[in-house]
Parts: sequence; C-alpha cells; structure tokens
Amino acid sequence: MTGFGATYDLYTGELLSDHVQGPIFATHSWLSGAHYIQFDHWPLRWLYFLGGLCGCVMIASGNIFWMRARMRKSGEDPIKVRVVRALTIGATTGIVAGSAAFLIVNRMLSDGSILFGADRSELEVWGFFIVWILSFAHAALTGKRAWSAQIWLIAAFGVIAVALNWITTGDHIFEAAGRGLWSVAGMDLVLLSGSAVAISAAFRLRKTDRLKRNDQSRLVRATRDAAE
Amino acid sequence: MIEISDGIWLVLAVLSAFLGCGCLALSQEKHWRRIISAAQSGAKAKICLKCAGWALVSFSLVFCVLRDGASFAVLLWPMLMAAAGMSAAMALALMPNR
Repeated sequence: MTGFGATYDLYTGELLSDHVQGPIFATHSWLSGAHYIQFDHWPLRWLYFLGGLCGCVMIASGNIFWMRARMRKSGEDPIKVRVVRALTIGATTGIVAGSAAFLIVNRMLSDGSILFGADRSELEVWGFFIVWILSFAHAALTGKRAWSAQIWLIAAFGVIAVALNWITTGDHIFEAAGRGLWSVAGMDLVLLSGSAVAISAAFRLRKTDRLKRNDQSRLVRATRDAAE
Repeated sequence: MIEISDGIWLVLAVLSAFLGCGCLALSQEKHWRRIISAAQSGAKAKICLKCAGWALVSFSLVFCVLRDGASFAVLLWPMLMAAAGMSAAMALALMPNR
C-alpha cells in the first residue's frame, strides 16, 4: 500500500509534507478491500461464502417462481419454460458439480502432467467447463428429472473429491486437523457437508414428487368416478 | 474496563442479529400464526416483537463496531444481516404448515 509516510527536512526537522490518504484514494482502497477480501478476517470470509450461496438461492428461486407462473397459465410446459428450466438447473446444480469436477481433476492428475498440450492448471479449468456445459445439455434433454440426477451427482462428487485427496496425499480429515492443516480439513468438511445437504435435498425432492403423484392419481380417480 | 475478546463480541453480534431477524419475522401475522399459535397475535405483542427485533439488530451493529472498528463493521454487519435474514427465511420455509 502506498500513500503513507511523512517527509521531514534533513537538517531542521521541519515537516515538509504529510502523505495522508486523500478521500478518493481511501474510498478506493476500502472498495477494493471489500471486493478482494485479502485480509485476515475469517468470519468475514465465511460470510462472503454464505453470501455467494444466498445469491444462488435468489437466482434459482426467482427462476422457479417464473416457471411456475408460466406453467400455471398454459398447463403444459411451453418451450420457454423448458429453456429457463435447463438454464436454471445448469446454473445452480451444474455449476456446483463443475466446481467439484475441478477438484477431482486436480487430484486425478499428477503435477506436471500434460494432455493435449495443456498442463494441469488448464486441465482443471477444462474439467470444470466440460461438466458445466454437459449439465446444461443433460437438463435440456431430461427436463425436470435433471434436478435429482444432478443433486445425486453433487453428492457423489463431494465424497469422491475427499476420498481422492485422502488417497493421493494421505491427509484424511483427522490427520489434517491433527497437524493443524485447517485449510485442508475445512475444505474436506465443507465438501462432505455439501454431500450430506445434497443427499437430504434429493430425498426431500423424492418425497414431494411422490406426494404430487399421489395427488394426481387421486384427482384422476375422482374425475373418473364423477364421470361414471 | 473489562477486556472482552474478539470472539465474544462476534458471538454476541451473531446471536443478536439472528434473534433480531427472528423477532422481526414473528412480528408479522402470517409467520406468527405458523409458529406460535393459530390465533391472531395481539397488537401489543406485535409492537413488542418489532421493537425487540430492531433493537437486537442495532445491538448487533454496535457489537460489530466494538469488535472490528467502523471500517470493518460496515462490511461485517451487512454480511451478517444477510446471513441472519436468510436463515430466518429458511427456518420459516422448513417449518411445517399448519
């Protein structure tokens, strides 16, 4: 950080200039600090992480409300609903699966491995984008069922990433935590709890699906009875 | 002056933010009916909850300033409020429908 310090006259000790941060520079450094959060403040870093998750929830729930409103109007799934559904699934579950794929590719390749002229740091990024793009395609092809399929994929990827880290480095959670490697242990814990959340979400989806199907068959039966 | 550690200020800030958001949610008729009782909440209870909610939320800001000073508190507090508000909304969504 520049812009601090004072200049004194070498002989008289008179203060020549006092480099105080100007208001614009101070504002700028505060804003860039708020964006890069490169300071030692763990609660704030976790809150930023939570803030990112809240952003995902906001986008996903907004899109779901939009789709519900369109579906209620027409009864069927119009093409715009199918497009928005594929984009929503890819943008929420797909991006999480892609991020997990990034970690898995990192553990599957050794440092210095080269494939198609790309080194590991590039291949990780390729892994992320390939899985992410495939998630959009999968959602476009399978429709509503893509939700639970991709949630199961996230659950599996989380566990695989932790297991691969254990196999390739020998650091399982307790080992890492015991040696004070909290960045490793914390990452593993976040991955495993992510898997747990994914599994509970998948079960919840299955339950609501079953309830809905029961309602529908009851409705069909009721209308048939009424017709007879 | 008693020395109070950063951790305690943080715990106090988090607790008051979460409780404050909970009180503000309960001060709304719909949520009151869902969680406390099917009967209508009185006007008095509503005002009390609203006052308690805003007081707790502002205490949380005070605790943030005491922990980190103003320059970090303006970052910590809004993020904390987002987390607290989101948690209150999520908790309400998970509550069974009466």
